[in-house]
Amino acid sequence: MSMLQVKVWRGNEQGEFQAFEVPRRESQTVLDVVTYIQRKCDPTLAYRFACRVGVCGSCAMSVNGQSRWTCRTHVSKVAADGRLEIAPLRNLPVVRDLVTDMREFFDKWARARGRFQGSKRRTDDFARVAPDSRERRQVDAGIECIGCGVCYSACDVVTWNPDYLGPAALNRAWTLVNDVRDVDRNGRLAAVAGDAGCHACHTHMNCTERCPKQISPTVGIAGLKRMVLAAAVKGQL
Amino acid sequence: MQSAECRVQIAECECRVRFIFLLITHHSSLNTACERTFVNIRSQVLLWGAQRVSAMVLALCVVIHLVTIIYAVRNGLSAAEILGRTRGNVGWLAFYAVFVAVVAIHAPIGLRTIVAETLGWRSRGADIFVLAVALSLAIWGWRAVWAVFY
Amino acid sequence: MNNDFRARNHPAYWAFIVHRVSGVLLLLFLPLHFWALGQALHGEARFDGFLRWTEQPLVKFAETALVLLLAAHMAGGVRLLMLEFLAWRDWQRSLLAIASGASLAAGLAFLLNVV
Repeated sequence: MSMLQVKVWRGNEQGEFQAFEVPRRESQTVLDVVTYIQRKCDPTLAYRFACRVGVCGSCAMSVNGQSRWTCRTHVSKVAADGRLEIAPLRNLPVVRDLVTDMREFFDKWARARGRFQGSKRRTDDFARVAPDSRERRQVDAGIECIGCGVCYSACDVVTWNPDYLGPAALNRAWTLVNDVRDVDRNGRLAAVAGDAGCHACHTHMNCTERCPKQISPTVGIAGLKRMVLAAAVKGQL
Repeated sequence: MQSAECRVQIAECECRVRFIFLLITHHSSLNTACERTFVNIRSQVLLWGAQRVSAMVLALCVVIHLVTIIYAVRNGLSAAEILGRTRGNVGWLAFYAVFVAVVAIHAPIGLRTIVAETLGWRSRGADIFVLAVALSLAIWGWRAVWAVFY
Repeated sequence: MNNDFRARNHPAYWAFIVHRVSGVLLLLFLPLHFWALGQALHGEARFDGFLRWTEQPLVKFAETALVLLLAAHMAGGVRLLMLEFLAWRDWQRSLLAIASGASLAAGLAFLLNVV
């Protein structure tokens, strides 16, 4: 039985990689590896997971430098030479070991007005939204986001610009400005505009590369750039 | 802008060097949820727009410039050749005057982003520095255009 | 913790690096360019003397590099303008290949004319 050489981050911002040897198994995922280490080697290892089947996003970590869902990452795919480096998600404060503080991620979501604002009452008739309309197709392309933080972790502009709202928050804002039922369009465009908003995106496309749901926040952010510029020129901001 | 809130942000910031640098540059560079006081949101958007529009103009200018250069350097470059083309030629004067003006809009806005991202310089001082670069480019560039026209 | 090259090793990121580096280098070159052209103010003979100096192979190599930088920055910029202002289509991903090809062609044309 071959062994994996695994380095795991221990500590918080100050810390170091600790080495473990983990038996290699068929169809093993990186989450399996982390779980094995915590159960058999060091019970003090802190990490997050929940569904372990790729629907919740809790197990997101940095594996060999790339942000991923560890439950959906087969060891055979990332550890060709039998080596793994597991670290917490980037761009977020580290609570301990592999656990990050996600508050800033969700605060920015709120700051980007990633919240639906409707005007209809319970007694009104249903809104009719054609699923093949241009706006709805654009919403559908980004609506599956579950807020896992992988794109935020992968984005270098988030690293270089502490105020930058980030790909997830902007993607959510994009799905809402294209939602014909939403009434907060101008407020939302003002919230996502400027040096800390959509205009800070440099189209690195790290987010698109890493998103486990194959969403491309870059597409939405480009759309927001156009919409915001039009609104600014018309004096609507 | 809440200065108390900003002081809490300082306390949370682990990098002491950055803290001191920020104190020196300007307090407003600690803006987190706050707007940059020198340039408001609408102006930030219009700056971005100006950089993109100037980019479109420059795409055209650069194509013309590259074609001219590639044609001109055949068989070597001489003052007589260059000046023969540009001296007293209002067409080239207008073209290069516009080229310089648009570069003086395009480059400094890009520089503003770069100093913000690489040096963390996001204060009023940074905006003034970038404006100074814009003016210098315009003045030096128009001087050069005049030099080959007159 | 920050991302390193392992997270950045893909085409769109290389395009960003080329665009940013070329932009900074071109900006640094501009004052020199304006100064050189301003030499014409001191008369045609002086300007000609300066141009004679630029005939050296090392200078020609630097000039070729500058043409490449300018072409690359422009091509990358046009690619960005298309990504940002035209509604997203799948073929836009190949813009990168087109942009690289176009800028290399420009650089080559210059080199062939100057050598």
